[in-house]
Amino acid sequence: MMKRVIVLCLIVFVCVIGGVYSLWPKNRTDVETSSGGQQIAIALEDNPTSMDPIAGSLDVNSYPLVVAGHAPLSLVDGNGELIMVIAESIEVSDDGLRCDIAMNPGARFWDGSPVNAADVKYSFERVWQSQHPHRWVLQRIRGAGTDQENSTGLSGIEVLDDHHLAIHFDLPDPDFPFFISTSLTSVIKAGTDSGKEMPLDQGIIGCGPFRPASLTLGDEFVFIRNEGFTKPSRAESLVLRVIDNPQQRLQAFHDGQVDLIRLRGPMIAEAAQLTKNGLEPIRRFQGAQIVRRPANELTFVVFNWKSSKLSTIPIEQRQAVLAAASVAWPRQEIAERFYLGAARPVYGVVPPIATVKTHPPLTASDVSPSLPNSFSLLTPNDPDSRRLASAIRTQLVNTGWSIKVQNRDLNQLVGQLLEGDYTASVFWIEQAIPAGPIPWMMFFDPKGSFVKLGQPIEGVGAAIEQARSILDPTQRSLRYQAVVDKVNQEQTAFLPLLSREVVLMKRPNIQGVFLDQNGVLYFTFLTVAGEDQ
Amino acid sequence: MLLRRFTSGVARVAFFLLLVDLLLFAIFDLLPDAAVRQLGIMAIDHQLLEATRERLGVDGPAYERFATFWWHLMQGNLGRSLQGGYPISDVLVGHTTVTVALLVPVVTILLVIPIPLASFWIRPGEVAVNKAKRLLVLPVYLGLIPQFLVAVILFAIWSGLLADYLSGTSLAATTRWTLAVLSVVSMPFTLLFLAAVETFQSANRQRFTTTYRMLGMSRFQVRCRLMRNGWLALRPLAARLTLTCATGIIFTELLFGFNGLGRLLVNALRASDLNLMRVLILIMSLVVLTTSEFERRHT
Repeated sequence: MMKRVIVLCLIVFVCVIGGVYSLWPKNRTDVETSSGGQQIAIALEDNPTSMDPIAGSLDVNSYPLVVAGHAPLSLVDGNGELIMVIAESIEVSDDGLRCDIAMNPGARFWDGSPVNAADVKYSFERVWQSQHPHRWVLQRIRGAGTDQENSTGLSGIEVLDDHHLAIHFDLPDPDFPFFISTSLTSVIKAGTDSGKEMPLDQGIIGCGPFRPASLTLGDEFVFIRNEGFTKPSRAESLVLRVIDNPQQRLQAFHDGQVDLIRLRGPMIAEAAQLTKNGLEPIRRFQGAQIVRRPANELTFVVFNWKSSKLSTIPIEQRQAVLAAASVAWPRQEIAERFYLGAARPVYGVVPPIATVKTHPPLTASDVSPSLPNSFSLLTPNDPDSRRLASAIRTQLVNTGWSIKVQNRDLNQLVGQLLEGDYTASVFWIEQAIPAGPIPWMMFFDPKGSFVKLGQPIEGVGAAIEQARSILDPTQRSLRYQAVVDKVNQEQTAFLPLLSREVVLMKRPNIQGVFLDQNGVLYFTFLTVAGEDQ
Repeated sequence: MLLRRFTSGVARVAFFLLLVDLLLFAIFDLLPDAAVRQLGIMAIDHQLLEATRERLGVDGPAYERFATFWWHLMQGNLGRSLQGGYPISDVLVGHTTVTVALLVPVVTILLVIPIPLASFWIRPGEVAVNKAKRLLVLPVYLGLIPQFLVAVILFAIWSGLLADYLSGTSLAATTRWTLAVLSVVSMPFTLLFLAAVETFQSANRQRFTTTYRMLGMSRFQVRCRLMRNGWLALRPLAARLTLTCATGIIFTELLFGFNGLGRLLVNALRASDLNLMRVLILIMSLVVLTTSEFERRHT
């Protein structure tokens, strides 16, 4: 009996091995064809929460829905040039106190009604009345006041006729057209935000390239082409699919379920390889294309000097501590090994694409700082951050630091940061407003929205405000740079590490993928190549 | 008598549901809320955080929010999800189909296979299982490894071996679904099979089995009689099996990417969507508690 059992087990084992071998994929290297027709499918990393341009632009997962359904007056391309979308022209007067906007008369909302100048005014006033931290882009419009409490409404927005507006400023604002070139200031149909409550705020009617058709939580969000959009696409529909697992996203791309995915962190090395022609897809994804652009992104370690572990270090030694850590951390090696070159070493608090001059590497100080014996490094619980935190821990052992990495879900991590219950944390931030270093200075302006995470440095806010008024672009950039330099010299809150690029993988028939100056993806020009092309 | 028993059962279930919800609410009210989750690092801006809390309806006192939820629940209003503002009733309807499609074969397998299999495994009159049989039953014990591990192994088989090979064929969806069903059914199947084996073994120790044989009943006839007894004897396992099926559904849907109730629960947890989480936990608790009450009435 025993012998029979052993023989039976052996037969089953051989069958299993044989079956596995026969099923093993052989020489399958090509990606499947597109999901077909004139439909474009894009992978989302998590569930969105709103398609309202204000609420949605606060949530990285909602952003794709916002830019699918809504459109701003203009966008800024990779060269820093304004690209008109809903507007036909935007011009700032020589004294910087007036901005004239001519609308495209052909622009239509989803419901077919024309986009009017009054809708633009309504949309801008709505942003100003919100609590959005970047509402400062409208702060210089006459009537805005210094904050909402003493605001009399944006009386400086003058509607000249259905398609023309003049915007009057209290102070010169020569970069105003750039500031409003984001989804935050998308044009919505006046009054639709106060209607019936609908899932994902889809009741707020927009004039974007697509209109919502079916939005299923946790599954897919289907949009249909907006015929009245100023840059009509050949794509009949856009499907945004929620695939939270990175492996499943890659598989979905391979299987033709999605046509475009963003490669983050370890996904880059899993889908692409570095060749003499740059980043190219591996054999499994042969035929796909890689699109990459520097992003307005900063990955850094933030230190809480008030924590019990670090509060013992004297203020004058903090710079030395940061310098010791900075010198020990091999940014270039990490950028090449982890991201295949799709990241840049950063030494200042502003990413290279948002400033005219990169901050030089810190040099080790002569002062030998008294380091804490050991401390915890919080890190967001995603594969990329975990890998980075692990590399930080390993590399900084040589400096005498003993670091314990603690992974946290995002809400837990933010909760701890809010309460100041941390010693140090790895973090990354992406900025969407094409406003150079201004959004980054909000971490160091004593009155800035995000100063709680950064460090208040006297005079930063006022200096930025002064620089914003300078009419000459070169002088303005230099003045901004002076503020950034001052912050870099004085701050001890951030240890900047890298600025990671936006890396997308797409099928060749998907065209018009537009990444703006900050590397933010917009669907404005998205189209699918047809047989006639 | 029956009415009294029914009323006390309902009261017991209601009490435990309230307790479960109170615990859930208390725990999650202490953690960072959905506003923090949605804003991410922007939650550092205090004014923005307060405005978002107000927009999501998570800004009032805790007792008020707890009471409002139950008041709405009693009126048949499940409320809206904090993630996207979907009516929860619509969300449940949309996701139940997927879970039911997984559960139907699972329940069918559990009803049809383990108990008859066990009854044929243990011969009438067989009290101790011999070595060879014990060896053969060893693979069944694999079903006792943690459910998430089973799901991970089967998903690895799917994504590592089969997905690429079957990609684009009509077999792909069927294979994926079959592996998912296996993933859900493994633990409850094993529990039920082993319990049934134990039951039949102890039945064999009873005199009536010998009596049946002496009366000239065939082994098949004895097995059929024992099987009926086995069904009744294994009823106390119902709540445990329901719970293992529920956890299996969660892990499987999450790994295999099925957009059912299990995945919805995990997404709600990740998004700190307390409203949706409470409704889903209450439904799950209701099913388990009701099954448990059913056991209580028959034991």
